[in-house]
Amino acid sequence: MEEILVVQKLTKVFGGVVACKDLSFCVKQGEIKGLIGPNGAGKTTAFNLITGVIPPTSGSILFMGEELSGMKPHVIVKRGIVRTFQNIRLFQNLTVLENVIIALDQQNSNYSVGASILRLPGMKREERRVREAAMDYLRVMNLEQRADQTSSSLPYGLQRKLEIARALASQPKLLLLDEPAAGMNPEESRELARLIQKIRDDYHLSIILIDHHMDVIMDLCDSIAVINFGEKIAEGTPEEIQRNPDVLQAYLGEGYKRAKS
Amino acid sequence: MWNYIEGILCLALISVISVLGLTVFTGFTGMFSMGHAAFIAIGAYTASILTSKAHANFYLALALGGLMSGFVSLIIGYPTLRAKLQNDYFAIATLGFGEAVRVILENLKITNGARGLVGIPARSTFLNILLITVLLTIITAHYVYSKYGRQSVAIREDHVAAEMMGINLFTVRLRALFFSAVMAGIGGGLYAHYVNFIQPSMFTSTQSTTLIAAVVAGGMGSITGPFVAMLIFSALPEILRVADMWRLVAYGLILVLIMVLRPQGIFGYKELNFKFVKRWIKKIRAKKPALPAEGGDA
Ligand SMILES: Nc1ncnc2c1ncn2[C@@H]1O[C@H](COP(=O)(O)OP(=O)(O)O)[C@@H](O)[C@H]1O
Ligand SMILES: [Mg+2]
Repeated sequence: MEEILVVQKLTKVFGGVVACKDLSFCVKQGEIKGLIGPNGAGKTTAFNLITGVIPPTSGSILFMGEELSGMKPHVIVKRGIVRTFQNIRLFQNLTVLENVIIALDQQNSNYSVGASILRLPGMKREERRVREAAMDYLRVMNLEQRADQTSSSLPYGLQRKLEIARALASQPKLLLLDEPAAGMNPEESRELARLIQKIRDDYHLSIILIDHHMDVIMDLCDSIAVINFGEKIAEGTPEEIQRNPDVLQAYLGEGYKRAKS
Repeated sequence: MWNYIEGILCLALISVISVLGLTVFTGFTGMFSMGHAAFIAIGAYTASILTSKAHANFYLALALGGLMSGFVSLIIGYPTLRAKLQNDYFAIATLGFGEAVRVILENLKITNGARGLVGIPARSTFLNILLITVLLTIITAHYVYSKYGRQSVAIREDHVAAEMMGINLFTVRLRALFFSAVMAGIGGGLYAHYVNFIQPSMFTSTQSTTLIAAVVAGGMGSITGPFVAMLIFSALPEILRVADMWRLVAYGLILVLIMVLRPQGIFGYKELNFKFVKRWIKKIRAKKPALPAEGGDA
């Protein structure tokens, strides 16, 4: 398998805090990569760097052979990297369907300002097509019943799923999920895990997954990188990570080992 | 009497045109422009100079006045929006811009300085004002309820998420500013050819503030809300004229009441249209189940 994303010696310093320190890892085409570590380890910061929300202090990010650092976020999206947010960022006053439509608009809705002002037939056709396509993405995440609700009225777990539907509509090659199962009960997080696997297969995605539900992580991920205080302390398959003494000490804890055995 | 009412209506409709533009920029894109009177002034002066000095066709002059405002908005918008000025800093920049335009108009020869332009031909009539207002309202609605409007709304709701979906904040904000400036410019041209006399002191920050107030009180994310609010705001001082010195107090009081009772504005995120009225009637019917339904639509 070839590597779609190569992160090399990525460093980010906020004032006195080193949020990421010489972080290197790569994501292979089609794999689900876990990114785990205690709170404040720098996981979200890594996502912010990859998506161009904040510039790195130093280091490089290669996506399909192209250097990303210095690019604007909206350009990086066009290259094929899309994310969800740990602290949900939906368009709250808009409906569930509209949230997805906005993502689709940027991808493949083609009409000019003039066509929209004059409501030309071509524009109306485009609008219908985009609406239908948006419904399809809602169906993927089992949200089609909620299409006309305002997004802020959705329960928490469904808001997270809507963020994923919206991200899918941006037609990513690499999807970054920041704690998608946060606040879900075990039942819901298992369903979400199945969905993540399904969209990876159906849309031929590569995924980086940040989460604290270890069952979800160990179940889904092909490989895992563990970070602590901004530094990578281990990387490997789920089995290797669960046996790694450094990881057990820094993050998983002795309790985890006992529960497993 | 009709003349009096017609006069109020004409001026109210002209203000509505400027408010429609600002609705796109403020109500839908979430940016505050405190200098919008300057765009009205630029349109007013451009169109007036064209008709009175170059004897240009009135409608051509209106359009060119709008485009001139739009052109100036790109000059002010390019550096400020590119630098991603935070909302309040951007508002202050536009406030300064508004004042600067007024001072420039006071000192140019072609604008006849502080004395202003007199004898502008009376080309704005009730009929053409009404037709242009209707036309521009439809255009605004079409613009806003398309992917271009949705991009704006996305930025207003969450600009970080919007950018993460591939929306170019700079382009969308600049486009919205341009649109609103063109509308204000057309409004200015109509105004000049209605009152036949303009001077720089007519285009003050008070006027800009009234426009913003109409958008906010009418409702963010709504076209009909600010439309209605501006009609009320324009007519109110006239209606309250009997109360004379108290009318400004009443005016302020009404604004405060709207903000306290309906912080989202009169029609926040909604439109007053056929669908809305239908839903509203349904709601009222649902509340009174005792009433026997007279049709088959129980
Ligand atoms: N924008 C920022 N400004 C200053 N400090 C930040 C910023 N973002 C994150 N940090 C700091 O960087 C560290 C890593 O944070 P974060 O990446 O959010 O951790 P995680 O997602 O792993 O829980 C924390 O100490 C946090 O306080
Ligand atoms: Mg985080």
